[in-house]
Amino acid sequence: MTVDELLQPILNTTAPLHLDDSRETIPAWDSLAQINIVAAIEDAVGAELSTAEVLSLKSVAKVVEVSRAHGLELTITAR
Amino acid sequence: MQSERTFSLADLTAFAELSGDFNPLHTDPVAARRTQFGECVTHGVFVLMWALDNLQSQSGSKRQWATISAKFLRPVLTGLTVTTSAKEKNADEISFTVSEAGRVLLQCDVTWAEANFTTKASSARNEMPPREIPAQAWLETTATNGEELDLFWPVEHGRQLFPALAATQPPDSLAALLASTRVIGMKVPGKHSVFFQLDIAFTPHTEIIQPFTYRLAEYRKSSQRLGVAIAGAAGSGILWALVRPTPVAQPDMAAVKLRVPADCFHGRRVIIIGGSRGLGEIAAKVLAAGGAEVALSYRLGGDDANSVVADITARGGKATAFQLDTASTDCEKNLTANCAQFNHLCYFATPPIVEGDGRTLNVPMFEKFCDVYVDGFVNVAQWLAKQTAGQFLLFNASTVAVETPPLRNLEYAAAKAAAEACCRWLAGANPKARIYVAQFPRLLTDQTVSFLSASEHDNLETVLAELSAWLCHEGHPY
Repeated sequence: MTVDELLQPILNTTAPLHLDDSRETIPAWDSLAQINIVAAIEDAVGAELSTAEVLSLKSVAKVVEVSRAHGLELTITAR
Repeated sequence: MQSERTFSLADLTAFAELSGDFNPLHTDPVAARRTQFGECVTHGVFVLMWALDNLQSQSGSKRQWATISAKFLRPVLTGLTVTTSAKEKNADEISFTVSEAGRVLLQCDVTWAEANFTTKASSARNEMPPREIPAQAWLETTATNGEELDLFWPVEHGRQLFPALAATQPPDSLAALLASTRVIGMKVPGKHSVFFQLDIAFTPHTEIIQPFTYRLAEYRKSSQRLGVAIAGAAGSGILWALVRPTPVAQPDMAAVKLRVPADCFHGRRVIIIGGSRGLGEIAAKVLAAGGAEVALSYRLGGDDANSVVADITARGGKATAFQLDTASTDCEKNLTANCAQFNHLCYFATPPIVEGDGRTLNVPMFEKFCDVYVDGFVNVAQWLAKQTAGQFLLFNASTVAVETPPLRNLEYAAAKAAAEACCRWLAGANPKARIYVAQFPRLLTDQTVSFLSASEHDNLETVLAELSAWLCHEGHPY
């Protein structure tokens, strides 16, 4: 699975996402979008994230890191 | 095809009566102001049914639903003008969105039944649902075994709100869709809920008599997300909701008195504009704990303001509360009537801190912030200047966002920056004014609390430090 497949529908964008993209660079990444990101990761990995993991999900880099910790390798478009 | 609508509070009340979802987030502006949305939010299912009604009436289609999958992505606040826009995916499937100024608020996919079901006897009652009180608390064990719920489709009232749906969809399907918002808003999780997704498959052709039930199917504690399974004669599905953060309780007077040196604000008479909750509430308690006499204003939250006054006076402090709308023509008269002898003023008034789209400056939103932060502040500051013969002291609650505006808070930060400019102008124009601007970091209040939020700062310590910096210098009063 790619980062784009996971996040683009939630973040309402078709632009490729990069590791340094975050809540501070993507306009649609608000608190409700963050809930949907948590839900998408939990559904994809089939497990519940910890509170610390949920609170940390503020950048693409963190999404990749948390997914990897649960065995899901997300590929990303090189800049 | 496109349609446009602005939802009013009266519309929301009419839908609450039809659906039985009387959650205060939708029907009580005073309670809704203490949610993270700051004002009443239109029921997601109301927006959905309005868009579905449009779809059916504009296309002239008589087809019935097979499935509906809807995501309520962002709140549709009262007064907001939204548009709906539909796109046919194929002969049996259509998708549509409801948007405001390019931001998608609701997204929905509908598939059509292959053939319409002939109308059979409906299990939905042709009357208004009961007016109940939403469940206050919710437990992980709530409804895990399934609970039955009566279905309602009050035909006349339903026809008035959704004429095209009433003419095309089976009453049981409409009643089930209405019941979905009642389940989330009134039952599980109830009062502190936000409905954010539904997936329903309709099978109103079944002849099996089956009561409508809801059951807590899934709960994700870390993200406060839960799934409620529904099933009945009209179909089955799953509803997704979030457990909404409760209003933020600020420290009580007993806790404040432990941290504030007695008499450090002795002899001060301070008006606190916006003192019924949040940082204004803390400022009222801090100043009173330090020996000041405070008069705190509220716009809507009379009960909250009276609770703050009761807490302060029960601990020996001096406080009163009065209603004030800084935009009202009665503002000056009201201040004179309640605070004639005061020469200090703290300004904490704020509208709901809504977010922009992060791409452009939303001018109406910026102006709404300015009405309170700029116009309101200048009005009360000029009243104080006229009122006071000697020195007067003003405290303006600003934000660090002025220096580094967050992506989706440009309108808020720009209005606060304008207020800071007014403070400098007032200081220049009034030699007897002493004006202090406090740039607060993000603190946890009703205005800033959101799903998955946390703050690094202690509210009481932060407010105490700023008030001390305003009124004291090297430990001594100015």
